[in-house]
Amino acid sequence: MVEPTSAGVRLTTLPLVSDQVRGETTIISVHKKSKDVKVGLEMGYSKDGRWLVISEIHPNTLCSTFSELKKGAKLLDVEADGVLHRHPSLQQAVVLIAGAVGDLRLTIMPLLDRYGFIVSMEEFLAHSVTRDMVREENIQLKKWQKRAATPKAWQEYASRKPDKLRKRIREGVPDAVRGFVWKLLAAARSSPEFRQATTWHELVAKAADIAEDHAVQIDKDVPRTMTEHIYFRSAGKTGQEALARLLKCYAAYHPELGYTQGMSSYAAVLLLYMTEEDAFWTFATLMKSCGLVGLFVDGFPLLFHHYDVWQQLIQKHLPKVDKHIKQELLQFLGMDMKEYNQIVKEQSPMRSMLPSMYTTYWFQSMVVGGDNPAPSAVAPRLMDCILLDGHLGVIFQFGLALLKSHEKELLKLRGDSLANALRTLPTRCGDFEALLEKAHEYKIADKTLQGPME
Amino acid sequence: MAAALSRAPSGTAPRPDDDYDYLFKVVIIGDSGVGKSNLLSRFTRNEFHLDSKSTIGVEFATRSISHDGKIIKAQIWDTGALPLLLPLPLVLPGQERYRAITSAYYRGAVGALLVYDISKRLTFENVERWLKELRTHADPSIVVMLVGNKCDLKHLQAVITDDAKSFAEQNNLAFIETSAMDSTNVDVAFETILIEIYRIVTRKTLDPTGDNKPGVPGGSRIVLEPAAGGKKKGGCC
Repeated sequence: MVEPTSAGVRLTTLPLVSDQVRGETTIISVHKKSKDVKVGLEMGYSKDGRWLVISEIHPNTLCSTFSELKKGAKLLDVEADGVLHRHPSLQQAVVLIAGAVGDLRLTIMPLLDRYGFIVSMEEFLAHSVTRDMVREENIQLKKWQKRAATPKAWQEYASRKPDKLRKRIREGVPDAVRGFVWKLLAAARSSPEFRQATTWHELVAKAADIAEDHAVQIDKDVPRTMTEHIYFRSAGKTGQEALARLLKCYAAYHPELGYTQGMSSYAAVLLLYMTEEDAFWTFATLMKSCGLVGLFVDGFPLLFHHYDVWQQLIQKHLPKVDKHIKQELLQFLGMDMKEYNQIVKEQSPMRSMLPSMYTTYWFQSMVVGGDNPAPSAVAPRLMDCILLDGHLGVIFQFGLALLKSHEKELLKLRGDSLANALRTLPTRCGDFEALLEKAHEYKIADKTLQGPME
Repeated sequence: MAAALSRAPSGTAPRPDDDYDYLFKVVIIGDSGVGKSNLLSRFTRNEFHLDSKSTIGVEFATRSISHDGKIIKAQIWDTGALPLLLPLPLVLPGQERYRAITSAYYRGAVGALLVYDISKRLTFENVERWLKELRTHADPSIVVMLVGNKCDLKHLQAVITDDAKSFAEQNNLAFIETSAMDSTNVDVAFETILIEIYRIVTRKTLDPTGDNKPGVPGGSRIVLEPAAGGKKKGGCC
């Protein structure tokens, strides 16, 4: 058992000072009580010799809780005892960090993947892009640019080749046109009057007057939504501001709903590719026209419907796993099979206890929120399909593929270990490209996914 | 009392997962953002995440401790946003539609950690409402401990320790201040409540069905007496 971080040491992440460093950097502030306290960083130079990079972070040291601090992060500045040292040499940095007592600030540029998500070195290397891949992507991108050149061209393509469109979208919309395509997909799902009732600017003005409890909850959740993406990383910066504004505008737009935890994940994904205003209307389309409000309004009608759908799907497609999960988790919940069957037969709300243990955040936060999220990089891919389908079918497919890929392991686990594995499964989804491909093999009828409301 | 405890057999010869003498279900409740998930992860996995996510749905984990020669296994449930299975009247503020926890969630729970953030006054003011909810939905004999978390933020303290302590005494709750971040009192908090439950369980005659694993949630419910007197645990800092 390794000793936890010693008592009395405080770690804080500070907001960036914008004129001092670029938006892609993060300041990490470590409070060192004495020279004996270890910071736990090892550094070296990048291959080209230009950058001082972090080569190792030791667990359970002062630095191990900062998720930006991953191998490969570039160390830009060190501020020790109030004195700032720009781009120190390796030797200098070591002396400064080891000798500091009190506040030690490290300015780093985290290691990012091509989409802007903070990644580990392993992930970075696993998804590095070759020239051939870029060439192929550019060919695809040209085709997409043609398809989505104008709304009219898009409509023609969509009505002439709906199956092909579906296939292409499932393969992933290229980043360069993603925001535009999302806008077109959302427009196809909402009536023209949809945007006429009010304007974005009116809503921005109204956002200041939303119910206080919703505003407070939004302000609590925004700093903990999709923070693996550099855009949402730093407090008070553009990404977080935009997300808070969007959610508050939505609360003003739909005051009966206001804000419910989980909504921020959906909104965050949209903001990565769209302007605030477009992201807002796309979000509103998802909520109202696609009925996702049912996941968030009091009583959660669509969520409960999704629990039932999930139970049917897992029983149909993964009967062995389903049986095993029922057996083991019911015991974990202190319920016997007889009692459970009775509950299901009577359609008692208690029947949702089982799926609610591990699927709630799949639906309410697109699998990328909550305590055990799938890698955020999967979110845009899921959103491609959600906007195309107008429902969360892809989440069910993803869930089925995920359980299938871990079937052998799950069947061996019992009680708590199984409960724990199920709950954390999305964090171990591995190569999600391959998983998504498998996911689409599961066919789910559109009509089973329509909620009980609206 | 807690000093006499040793960590669950995690070393040389771990006992299998389901080898325990007592299984107690403990729920963690409190306002959004007070650090419930980090208390859970600190106790069960010795992990702390500065950039933790809001909990959507439920989190749960288990850890065993040994006490009095017995293995006590705690099944700890942390609610972030548990949807209503049985809707309650909407009387509470904040993330009310989520906070109103269900009877299902409380099912079989014999202990509750009611957490507030010592640097956020409002989270302490809401404690009373959480208590009311516990009284409505949980077993009346559930053992409750009031936990002032984030005591590492002493310089931002907005809830005076003595206020919380006297509130706890008035309401017959145990009380402690913790920091999931620097680990202060986290183990002590969980161990104290588990031992308190153990004390009550072993004193009472339980479970007429004769199940020899008392405290297993479900089927056989343990009848607990209300926790006798507020335990006096000092603040940590």
